[in-house]
Amino acid sequence: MSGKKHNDGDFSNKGFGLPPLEPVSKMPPIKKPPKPDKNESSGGKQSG
Amino acid sequence: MNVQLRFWNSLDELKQHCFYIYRYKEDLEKHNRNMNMFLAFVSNSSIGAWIIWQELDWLWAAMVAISQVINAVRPYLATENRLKALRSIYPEMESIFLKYENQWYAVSEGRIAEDRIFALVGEMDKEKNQLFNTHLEGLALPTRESALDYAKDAARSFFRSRYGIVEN
Repeated sequence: MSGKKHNDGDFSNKGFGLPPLEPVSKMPPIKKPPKPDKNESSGGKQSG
Repeated sequence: MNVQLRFWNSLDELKQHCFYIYRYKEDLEKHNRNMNMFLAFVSNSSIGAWIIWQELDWLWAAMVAISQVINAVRPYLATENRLKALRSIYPEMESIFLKYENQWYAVSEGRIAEDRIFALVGEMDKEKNQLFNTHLEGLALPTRESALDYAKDAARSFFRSRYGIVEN
């Protein structure tokens, strides 16, 4: 079914809307992100 | 999957979608331009007065009839509505891409926490879907193969020249 084309040769019945696409590029070099800071999740509210 | 890789892949897909929408819009613009040229040609009275139409009066009559049908149904053609939507979607989608591409440096340098990167990926998908749904308002956009091929090639060239990386 996938890839079957209509008469004008350009539309396919793969779907409607934005089609999901495989990545075409490799990710550049990265550094590891920091782990979430557990102290940050206390809400930040101050008494007083 | 590594959350930074997920961010990168979403960025990659978003850029491909930008190129896809651009090419789709260009194809519909071309179709629209050809239709306008045909309508202008048929509605021009001096062209209608050409002596050749005395020989081919049946052809001229058929062209006039076709142009009248086109004029009558044009406001209801999906192509017209799609083109209108894509003209709005394209620049906004490029803006979304630039917004998230600007975050890539901090993401790649490890300056943003994993949970925040994960949230950014979700926000990127949400903005893209909202943009699409708002402008298309339920109108279907059939997959266009030539635009897909163009988008893949253009995105490959874009990432190669921008980031100096080899494609998958």
